[in-house]
Amino acid sequence: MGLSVGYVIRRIAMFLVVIWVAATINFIIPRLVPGDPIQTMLAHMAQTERIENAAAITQELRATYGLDAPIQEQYARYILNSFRFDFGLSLNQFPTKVGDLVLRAMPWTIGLLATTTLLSFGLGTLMGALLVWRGTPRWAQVMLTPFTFFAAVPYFLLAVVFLYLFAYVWKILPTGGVATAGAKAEWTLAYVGDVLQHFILPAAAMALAGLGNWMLGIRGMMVTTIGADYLNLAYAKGLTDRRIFFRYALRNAMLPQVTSLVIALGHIVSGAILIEVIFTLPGIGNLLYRSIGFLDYPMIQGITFVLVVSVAFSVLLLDLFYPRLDPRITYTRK
Amino acid sequence: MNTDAVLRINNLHVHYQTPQGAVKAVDEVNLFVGRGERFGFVGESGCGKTTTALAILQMIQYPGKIVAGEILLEGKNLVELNAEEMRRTRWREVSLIPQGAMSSLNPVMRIKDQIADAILTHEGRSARTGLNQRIEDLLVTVGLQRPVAQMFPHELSGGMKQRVCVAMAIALKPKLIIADEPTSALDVVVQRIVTQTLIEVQERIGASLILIGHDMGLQAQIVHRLAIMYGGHLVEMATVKKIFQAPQHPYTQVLIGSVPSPKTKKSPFALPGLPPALLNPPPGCVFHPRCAKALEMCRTQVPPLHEIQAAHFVACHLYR
Repeated sequence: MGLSVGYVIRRIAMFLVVIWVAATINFIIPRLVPGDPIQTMLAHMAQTERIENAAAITQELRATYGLDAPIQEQYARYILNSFRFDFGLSLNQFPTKVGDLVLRAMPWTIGLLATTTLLSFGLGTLMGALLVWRGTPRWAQVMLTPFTFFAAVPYFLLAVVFLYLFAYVWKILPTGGVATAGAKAEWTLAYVGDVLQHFILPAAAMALAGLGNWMLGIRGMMVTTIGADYLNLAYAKGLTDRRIFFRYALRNAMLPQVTSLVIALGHIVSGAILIEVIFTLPGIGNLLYRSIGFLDYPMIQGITFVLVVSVAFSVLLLDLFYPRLDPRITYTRK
Repeated sequence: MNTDAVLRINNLHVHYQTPQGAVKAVDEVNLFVGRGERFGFVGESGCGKTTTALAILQMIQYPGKIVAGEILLEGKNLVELNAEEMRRTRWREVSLIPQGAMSSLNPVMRIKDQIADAILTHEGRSARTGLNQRIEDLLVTVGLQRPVAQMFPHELSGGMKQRVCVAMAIALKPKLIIADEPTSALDVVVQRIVTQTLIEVQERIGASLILIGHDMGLQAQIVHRLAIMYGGHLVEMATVKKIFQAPQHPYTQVLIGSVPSPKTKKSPFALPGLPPALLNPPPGCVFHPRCAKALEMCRTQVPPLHEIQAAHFVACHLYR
């Protein structure tokens, strides 16, 4: 429905082009930046041990990173490797592969952010819609209104406040990390419970900060939808309030929200850097933060690339899925 | 008076509360609609036609409120029903063909789902068997093809959407159908066909019809009786024939006189002045500032609706 084979093919081709451009930029930028990462590495080594044959080591490292080949060959190899998610070795945690580090950090970030994004989207959309729905009891509207305030509060500020109150003053929740120090990472109830406990504060801060934005977003759309003629007819049809709310009002008001949600979900791989730094979570955000500090180019490139792919992929899915949500959108050529 | 009235409105007052005071949108309206009768409401914009119709459905929105009167649908006073009872009454007993058919269908729902919504809400799950067949039959009744059931509103033309609305309105065989300017957005050809369909289905299910509009020509072809409204008041009510041949109220006379005629070729008479501001209506007869025949008492006393001949009601001091 609404999709032609030609469109799907063109859309996927577009997706691949975006990724290719991203990989190319990834390739060019570090080569424009002054400074030689190999020399920086040597300098780091020199701090801890005596370097006898600097020239030989430099030569060897250049070969390891493929920097001795002509530029065209470097580029071709780089693009090819990018599509295989192979970004070589981390400079900071030499000689671990960038891919492995990213893979290890990813579950924490996705686990935290996917949950909180979906949670605050669901709750925020529902609460914002109820805020202006005429069937909502007065007391509920009064209770809901203050939550829109959180649209103005940055999540890291909430995080710090929560950290201070729950971990420092009342000492009921841990200050950071993903598990109690020394706990064995295994699929036991105790360990999972421990992890969940560590996630309460960052998740609460993220979800609450996101809530206000979703509420404000849906509220405006909802007001427009409530005034629509088809809502009036739905009332005249004698449908239940509940059905009108979900099937006629919210269903239509939500469409632009879904676009925002998909883009937000695409961005979660980059993590919310500050939240991971504040709570010392070993996620992608933290990894990126540390890599920037160490000028760990392969790491930065790898993470950037994963981010680009995930955003582009989310938007691709959205484009292919949207005609299902809104039948007025169609990509078939007439 | 016709005793077999499906709808009887007694002494209806609808006010919109504003910071400046109450706007009397409907003031002292009395009328009845017989079984199977087609009843027309005519008047200029803002005269209270649509507000009266919404009052029947109990869909007057805040800050509007029915401040007095009863609306008896087969003896049941709709004004006194609670929200849930009224919800069950809507569509099953009184349905609506809306003003803007173009935008009255949910854009993201298939036609069949929108019709099914009304049926299932009122008849329950037992209506599920044979539902698709029933919906398609309804569409055929109003001159649409069966595949329309699977379509979305944006895939239909204006006339088709209006037919869908007609089909939806008769789905539960209500006693009364309120058509609020159902064809005002359509061109005259489609208008004619859609109204013809409307009359056919209304007669088939034996419902009464209230047709709201300002097109005197269209009304004359369709309805049995006409009610003329002005400034929230019902000023004259009689059969179409009487209204056109012997209009009594000065406003009706002007209204009839304003219908252009190809025979005389003279330009139609236009009433000077503007409709009254209902926030602060003129005292006495609401029409007196524009009335050429106004008497002294028109300035002070509100004329009641009065039966001057059999089944011919006029609210004017000239006929006391």
